[in-house]
Amino acid sequence: MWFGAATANLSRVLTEGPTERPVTADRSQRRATNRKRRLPLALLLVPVALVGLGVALFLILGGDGAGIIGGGDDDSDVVPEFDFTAGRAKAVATAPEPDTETLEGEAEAIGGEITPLLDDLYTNAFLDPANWREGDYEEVLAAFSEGAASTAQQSVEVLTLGETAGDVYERVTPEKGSIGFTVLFDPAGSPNTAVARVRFSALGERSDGTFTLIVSKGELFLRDIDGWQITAFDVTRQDREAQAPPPSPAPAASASAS
Amino acid sequence: MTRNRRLGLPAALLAAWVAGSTLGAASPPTTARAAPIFQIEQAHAEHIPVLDGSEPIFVLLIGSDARPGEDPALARADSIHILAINPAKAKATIVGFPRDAFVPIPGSGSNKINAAMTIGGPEKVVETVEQATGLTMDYWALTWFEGFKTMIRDVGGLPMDVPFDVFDVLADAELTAGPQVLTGPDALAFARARHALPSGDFGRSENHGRLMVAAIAAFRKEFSKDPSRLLTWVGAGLRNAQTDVPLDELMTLAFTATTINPKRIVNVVLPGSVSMAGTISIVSLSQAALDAISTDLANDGLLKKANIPPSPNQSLLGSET
Repeated sequence: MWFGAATANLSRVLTEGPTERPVTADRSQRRATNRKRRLPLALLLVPVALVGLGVALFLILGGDGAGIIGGGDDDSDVVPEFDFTAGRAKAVATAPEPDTETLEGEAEAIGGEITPLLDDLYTNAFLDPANWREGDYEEVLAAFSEGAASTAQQSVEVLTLGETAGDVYERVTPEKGSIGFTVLFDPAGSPNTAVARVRFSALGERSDGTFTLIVSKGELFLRDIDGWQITAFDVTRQDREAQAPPPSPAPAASASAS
Repeated sequence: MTRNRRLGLPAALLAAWVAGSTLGAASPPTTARAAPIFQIEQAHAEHIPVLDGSEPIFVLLIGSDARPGEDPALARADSIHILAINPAKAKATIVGFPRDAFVPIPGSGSNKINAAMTIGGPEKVVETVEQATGLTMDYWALTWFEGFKTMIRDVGGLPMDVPFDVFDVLADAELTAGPQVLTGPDALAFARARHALPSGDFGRSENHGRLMVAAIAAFRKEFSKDPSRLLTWVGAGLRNAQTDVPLDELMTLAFTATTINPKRIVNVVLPGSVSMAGTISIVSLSQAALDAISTDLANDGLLKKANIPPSPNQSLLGSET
């Protein structure tokens, strides 16, 4: 409440400016009057300035350390950029005499179609602070088919950073991500099932200052059911304690003279 | 007393200092850099869309005698097996028919069972088996010599513990007992060999079941190491076989197969006796055994011990049976 009043006072002071005073004819009298007035004004400005400073600090730092003004720019709230490095896609034919070259091209295209979905999936599962701080992984679970969703929900601690990750981590940054595809085609040459072999790691900075390398490996079976959905999965988490990352190198001086 | 107290105080202070130093040394402040690297916890999650329920699934597996250039679906069916799967119990049963079993073929009188396919393709074999057993087949799958060899090649060979030496010139079989990875031609030779077996076609039919068990074991093992191998096996199977199983259902069956422990698959051959029908050699199936096995399978796809006939290769297996 008092912050509100202080803010109101501060804004009034800033907008109204100094109060106009009556002009006195005698210069010495005027000087004396001014001297008398200067002291109380200074005394008034000090607490106002302090209150203003307090308000400014509150607005900048926020009550819980997350700033209000410019708080959205705090790098711990930023969703880190992450893209899997996709390897070669392999085609598996079921027709007796397949057009291997065409199917391999198709498999590559399907890999290209699925990779961004998995970029998002792993970002939502491990990297987006808005998700792991709240333990809310609805977007992750939406990637699973109806048949697999229930098991995915039960396996949320393995498939994501976990429901209590917000109590554990301060910051999570991606390390590595590689992905490979095998695509099964039906006898007519249409894709039936794609298997994504996923290797993902991220560095989690814990609240106690230690670090954890978050490692997720596994295979995801996807089918195109109104869009690619995960119908089966086999995922292992192999998290381990990690060393703090080396400090970022200072920008190197330009070696070439122009 | 006072003196003792005076001595005791510095001693206590010294002890406290030493203890404090020691304790302090024992628990230095730790940092992430100094901490040893260790595995926090390994966790695993999986979901595989398997069939459930105790209702058995029956698949008729047919091996065609077709030679290159012949239509596999219209040649003799020299290998006929019922694969019964109980998804709930993750168990299975394989029941082999001797190819010379003399049975009624719907719409065509009685004949050797292997003739059914020449009359009406795989569907006629299904009808014949269904009539003989009273069981309803859910699916059928058919392969042939070249298809079988290629299938084995495409999955990288078939690991198998060959139970006894198999030398049969007519089948190109030269296999010594023991664990080995069979190539396509090896596996086909093992499947075709009957002259070296005391029980002839009965023993060969049982060996077909052995190959199936070995295939399920290999598939299961590979899947556990690399689930994407499921696609390789399904692809190899479909490229080299014919079947009425839709691909989606085949995928579910394949996932289900990964749950079946091969050691819990019962592999039997219907017993019977060799006799003559005119000038041709036939097998007269034991009707009592056929009825008991069929009734037992109908319940849950599994056989009670009492209904499991002795192995036709018992004399070769020795004490293992």
